Amino acid sequence: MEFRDYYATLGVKKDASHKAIRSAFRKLAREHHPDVNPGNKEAEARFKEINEAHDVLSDPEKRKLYDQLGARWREYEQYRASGGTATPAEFARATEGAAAGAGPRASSRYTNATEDDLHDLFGQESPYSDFFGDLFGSAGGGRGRSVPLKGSDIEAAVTVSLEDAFRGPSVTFTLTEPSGTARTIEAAIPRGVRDGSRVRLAGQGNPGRNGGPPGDLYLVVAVNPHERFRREGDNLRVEAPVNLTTCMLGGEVHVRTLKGSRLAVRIPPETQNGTVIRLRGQGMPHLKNPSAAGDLFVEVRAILPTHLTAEQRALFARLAESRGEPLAEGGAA
Amino acid sequence: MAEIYYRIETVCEVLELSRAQVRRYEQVGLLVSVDDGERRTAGRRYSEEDVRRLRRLRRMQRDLGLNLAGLEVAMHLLEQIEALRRRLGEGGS
Repeated sequence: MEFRDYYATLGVKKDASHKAIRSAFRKLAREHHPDVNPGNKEAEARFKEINEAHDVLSDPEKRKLYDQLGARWREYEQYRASGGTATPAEFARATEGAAAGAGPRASSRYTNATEDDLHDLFGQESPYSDFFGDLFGSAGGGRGRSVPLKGSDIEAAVTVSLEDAFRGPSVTFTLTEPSGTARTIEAAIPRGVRDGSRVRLAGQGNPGRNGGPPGDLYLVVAVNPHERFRREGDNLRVEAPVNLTTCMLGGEVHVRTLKGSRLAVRIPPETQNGTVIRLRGQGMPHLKNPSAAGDLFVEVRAILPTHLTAEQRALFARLAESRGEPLAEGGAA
Repeated sequence: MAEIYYRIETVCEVLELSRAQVRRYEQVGLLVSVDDGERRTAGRRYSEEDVRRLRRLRRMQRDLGLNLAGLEVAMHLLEQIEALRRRLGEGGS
């Protein structure tokens, strides 16, 4: 293992103040930070060193141990954590010459940047130096050691169309875990899902700690309004344009359902504009029982004819006459 | 297909930021969150891209000691550089 002199890395003296260390770190960071040098591997490597040095020297306790024990300060931390009582000086004397090899895995972690940042900055590569590679352990491995903790729940919002809510879509999306790894999740949204429904995906939340179970992921579903269908609970409402003669004499119109099929709807003779026809079971599936469904209410919109020919106008006039409806002046040809 | 957006609570928890910090970034125009009206469920929404941006803002503030004015300039310049790189990449291909 190569020992790095953190003071030299930051270019500060051994007795530098906390402020001087921070200032040196920032000055170097401005030059080598991966955010300002995207894609520059050399700057990235240099920043790793700078960050590591700053991480240790900016923490008074770590710095004190580092000053006393040099490369082996983390071994001492581990020794203390496992119940050792010797002072750093005693530890140094007792282990003199014996500890150049790999020490026990340490419980400390890189604290200056979060795991997300490290992943974001360096991708999958370990951000630790060769020297500390095995001492730091993998990121996150050493947080609070003994008590298994359930991971926290995550909530994410997902927007679906009304057609999707009808079909019960499966949505695929990528979540970035706190460890920085991206995870693709495929979730089945139940049929009949409502605006504001919370879909629980058990065990898909943040990972647990110390062997604890993962948290859950809640998808908060927003259902976008549809341009034709209006939703009222599990019922749907749609307008159907019907021409005047069909309204008066009766007939059939075709209505496209949300499912995509075309239904023939019988229009009884003398149907008034605004009449609502109910089609049982053609609405949204019930969320709790998707084999059942609400109803589809078809609202008749009578379309009055335009661009009448002279003959058609005469026919309307005759109709008015036969119904004893007086025509306004200029109303008939 | 569905787009994923996060609530501010989740964003704050994951990034260890306070709501006030996120709001401050928004106030000065460093972050534009998706607003709400059309989604009809309460609160602002943050996309994965917003979360990446917030992470970068937080990191630059912490590592480089930039203040909000500095962040604004840095982000603007970085975006310009990225856009130019993309154009160069397109031109070269």
